[in-house]
Amino acid sequence: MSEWKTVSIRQELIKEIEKARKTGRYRSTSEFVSEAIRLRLEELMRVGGIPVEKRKRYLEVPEQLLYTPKHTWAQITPEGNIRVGLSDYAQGHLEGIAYIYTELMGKEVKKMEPFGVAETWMFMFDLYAPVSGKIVKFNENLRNEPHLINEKPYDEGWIVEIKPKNSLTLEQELKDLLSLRQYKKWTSKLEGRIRVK
Amino acid sequence: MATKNSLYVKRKLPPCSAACPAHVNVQGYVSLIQKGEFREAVELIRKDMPFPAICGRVCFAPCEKACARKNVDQAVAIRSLKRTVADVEREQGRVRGEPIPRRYDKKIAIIGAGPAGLAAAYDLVKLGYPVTVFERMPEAGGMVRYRIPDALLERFVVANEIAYIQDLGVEIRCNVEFGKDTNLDTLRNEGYAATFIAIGKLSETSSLPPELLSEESGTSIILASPITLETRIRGVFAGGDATKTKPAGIIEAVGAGKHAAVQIHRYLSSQDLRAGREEIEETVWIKNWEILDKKPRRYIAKKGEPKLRISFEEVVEALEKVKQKARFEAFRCLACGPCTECLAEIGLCETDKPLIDENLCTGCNICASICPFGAISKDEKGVAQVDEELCKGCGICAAHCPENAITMERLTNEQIMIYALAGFRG
Repeated sequence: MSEWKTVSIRQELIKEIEKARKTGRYRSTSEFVSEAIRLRLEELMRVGGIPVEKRKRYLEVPEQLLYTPKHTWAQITPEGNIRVGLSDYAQGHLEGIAYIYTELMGKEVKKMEPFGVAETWMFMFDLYAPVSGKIVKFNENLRNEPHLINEKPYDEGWIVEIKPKNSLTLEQELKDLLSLRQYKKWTSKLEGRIRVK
Repeated sequence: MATKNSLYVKRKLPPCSAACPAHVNVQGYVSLIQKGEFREAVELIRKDMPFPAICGRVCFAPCEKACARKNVDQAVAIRSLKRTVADVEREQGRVRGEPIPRRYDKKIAIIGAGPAGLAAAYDLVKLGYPVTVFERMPEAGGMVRYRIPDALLERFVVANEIAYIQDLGVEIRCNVEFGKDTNLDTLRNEGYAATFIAIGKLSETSSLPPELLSEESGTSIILASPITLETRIRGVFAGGDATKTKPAGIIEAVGAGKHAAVQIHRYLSSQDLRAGREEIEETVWIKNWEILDKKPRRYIAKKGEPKLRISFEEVVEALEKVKQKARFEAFRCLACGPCTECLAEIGLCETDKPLIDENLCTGCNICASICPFGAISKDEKGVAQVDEELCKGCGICAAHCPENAITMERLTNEQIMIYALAGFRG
């Protein structure tokens, strides 16, 4: 995350922003401005105004999913299962992905405990389950093409489907997961932090 | 001895490269690791053999057994360094080979997709031949794929290295058994000009033409000349474990494959198969081992060490740490061999060498005594001569010549004085 900068805005624009704030989508003027700048930058990138090497990659975070702080996402499928995958932030660190191991089919997993391992050429990464339940499906395409996770982390790159134990605990567990806004905050915090072990 | 000179090409190598059957340029890639140029280091390994990641895991490392650093403390961890550079390259993204344009039309068939067959295919496709590899099993890799446990050599490593060879343009046909689905006649009818048989250890059921076979100490092997690798049938070559009574390591197989590639190329371009053989000479310039400092080895000599388990946030730092460790280990290398054709040093070697003015040289022998690499000697006229293989272009001789008969091509006299003085203080 880059450092904060002060931006001066014309008075008549501020009035417009105040109107936009009333819709409830933005909490403050600066939030509106930062989003406006981001959109403008993305637009510039689309038309190719910024040279490729200077473009900063923005993390892609779809709105309708729920996230864990360990960078797995959860999505409710039409059958009522929870589909689990890795977020864009995680796949950015998995360029050398070589293999995905998960617990066997039918195995019980607990919330926020590892249900599998993503293996790259040099390291292993634990994959954390967003909800408790039973593993009912594994994305077979990943066996031969683990790179699907890099290409489409949010749809074809899903990893497992978990069948929740019962709907009551599921509701509570889903509440504990991070929303889009919370997850974005968490990743931007991580990007600005260097942890030395 | 005139005949011998025309048949042999002398090649001076450091002990590690001389001991390696594939003659991988160890000193070159270790010096590239010292500079932190990991990608260039893998490319240098790939010039000699296609399996940096496999050999980095399961090679018997004859290079480490020959390492001259053993005279001081322990050998440089060459195998671990190779594994590190290969893994770091893959960790930063997928590695794909560029297809190599065809330069010849003569098709080559290789029987057996083991390390020997694949190494031969790799070298031949790099020369520009269309190569087809036939494999009996459903997947390529031979012993490397089917005999080594997953704990030592992960399956994706083998698959990835073979995919790289396929990217270059090698065609691998699996589930085709030689003797049943194909034989020498059908291959010849399909237009293959040469065949290399590298089917590994012969089983009793393998049905080969009887004129290829021979009995040796109770086991049947394919009879092939150790020098030319030719069998009794013209245009058919054999190598690897199939021609040996005892199975050898992967790097021996790679060496055999490389040898076969050279021989097949000579056969197809109608050259003498016995000419141009390499005679390897081990060369070390260090004479006094006591003055060298001891540095402990940073990698434990153990196969199949477990992978680091980290979280996504720690990747960047962990990768840096791995690179740092490799660089520290690489600095243990003494660069004891003659100047190798390492990519990074081409600039230095080509442009900087001492030039001796024969008219000024009085034959005082100071340069010969001062040269740290023993590269200078006097010829019969009493004029100093530089051995270019041993010279490292340090400029000490130029700094000490009392007659100013030696000049360097690139360095100025002032620079030479600074270097020489710094060397003496150190």
